[in-house]
Amino acid sequence: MAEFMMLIAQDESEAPKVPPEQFEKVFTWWRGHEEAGRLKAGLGRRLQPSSTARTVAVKGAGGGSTVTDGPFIEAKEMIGGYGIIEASSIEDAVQIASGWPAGPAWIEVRPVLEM
Amino acid sequence: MAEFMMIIAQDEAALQDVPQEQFGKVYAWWQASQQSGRLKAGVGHRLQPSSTAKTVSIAANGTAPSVTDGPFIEAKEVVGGYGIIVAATLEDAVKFASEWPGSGPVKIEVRPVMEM
Repeated sequence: MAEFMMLIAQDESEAPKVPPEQFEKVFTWWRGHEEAGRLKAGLGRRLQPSSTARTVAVKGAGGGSTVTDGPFIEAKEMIGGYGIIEASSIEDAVQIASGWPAGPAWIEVRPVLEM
Repeated sequence: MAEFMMIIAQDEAALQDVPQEQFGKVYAWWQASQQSGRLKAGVGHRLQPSSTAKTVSIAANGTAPSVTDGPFIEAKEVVGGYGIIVAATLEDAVKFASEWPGSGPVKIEVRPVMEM
């Protein structure tokens, strides 16, 4: 088995229109996968809106760093949370992510680097 | 204390020129920060290059999801890893991220985690 990061991206301008029962569906889905061992328990997080973010740009070669308000990239879809999938292949991981019960959402699935 | 996600974004094209000892510096800093409790132990990950990613698009109306190759957004800087900072305030978390010992250039987004 290997680990795959699931980066969950959403259009934040749509988020206020999402009915609370959708969040409940995701919560139940997430719990079910954690209990079945397909999502690593205790590792996933949901994030505050991207407007709360700060970005540190490290220049390199001793050039110091600067801090700006906002996410590292301005886009329509923003990262809203993540989880770690445990699966034998990326195809299996994609299949698990495809069960996400509340759209619209974009879920990037990427293998974790073994250290 | 609260949790803050640290999303580490880098220009993958420039990564190939990064000397190996820079990764060693980051690794040592990461380990020390986990031991002192400023980074949550066992939670961060480094990711494979974005070329290995697949993106699942979930529609609102219940139609079957579609799968494409690549990250959810095409950009110069892509997510290369993450960690969870434990700090009292966002300012403290930003200060911690500013200590990043690698050579850069790297962008570190620091964002409060939602309490569930």
